[in-house]
Amino acid sequence: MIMMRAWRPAVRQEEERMSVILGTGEHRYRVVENWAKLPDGWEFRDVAAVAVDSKDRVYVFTAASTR
Amino acid sequence: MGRRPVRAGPTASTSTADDTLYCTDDGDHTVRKITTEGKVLLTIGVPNKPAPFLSGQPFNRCTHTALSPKGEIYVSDGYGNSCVHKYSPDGKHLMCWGTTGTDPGQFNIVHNIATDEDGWVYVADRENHRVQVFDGGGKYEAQWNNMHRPCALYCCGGGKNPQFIIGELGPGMPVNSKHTNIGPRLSIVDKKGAVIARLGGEHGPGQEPGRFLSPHGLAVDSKGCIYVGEVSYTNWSGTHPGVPVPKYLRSLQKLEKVA
Repeated sequence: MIMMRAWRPAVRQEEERMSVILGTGEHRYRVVENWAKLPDGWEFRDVAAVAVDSKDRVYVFTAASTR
Repeated sequence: MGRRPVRAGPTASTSTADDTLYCTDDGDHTVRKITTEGKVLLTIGVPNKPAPFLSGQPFNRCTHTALSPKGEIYVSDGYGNSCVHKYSPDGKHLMCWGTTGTDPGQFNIVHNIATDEDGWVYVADRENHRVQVFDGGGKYEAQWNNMHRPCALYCCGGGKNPQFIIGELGPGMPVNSKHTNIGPRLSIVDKKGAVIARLGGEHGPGQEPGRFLSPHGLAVDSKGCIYVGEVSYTNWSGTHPGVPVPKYLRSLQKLEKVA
């Protein structure tokens, strides 16, 4: 566990150096690009709404997902 | 969950208690309560039968849904109406409040709605650049200002001290389309509407990481990560007047909470 703790901050620092961070103080967020992995040929065309359930599954309300 | 082509603003919210989803469809003027497998449990409104424009009758392009602590259903309505409807958990219409205008209790595009554990109702009054706060009976309590075109609204919980995330649209008129520091962005505010943090928006719209186009839907997971849905295509002409719509625009991103 001690090794893990020593190791994690270094990774975190690297992630932060490589990525965009928004916000300040307790509200800092790393922008995750291309987070959603869709099947080939699918893409989101306007996402009007999102929701998260108790298991952290994300629901996307979108007009059309295929070309 | 895209059942059919819709126009600008179908929205959804989730009930954490029993994992049902409320899909608010401005395109066919209905709210549907569905399971996470997609089974429709309740439909409010008559599909494709809008109420007359600005009639105050449900619905004319309804925009979002939120639940009271008792499971009553609030619906913001919307693009073609200017009010909030309240329903019993089984879909019986209980009451309605709001008209067009700029005074307290009046709206100029009722675009989103959220509730907290104490039963307060928060309404994104988009083109009045404010969030209005009401009690569960529709009595005006307060308004929050210092924001730009609040489009998305999410209550992060937190018991007696909820925080809120507001998704703000950027400048939408040719005269201010190049103005800076007015979004599109996310703002995090406390229960009185005071700004805690701003995310993006300093330099206008964009597809680059850290910028937004049209934040329209928000949700937060158990780790505090924010999911942002954007109506990037529909609102492109508003964010980039005169610029052809690119072939691909990002419409969903995750903002991972930094510990």
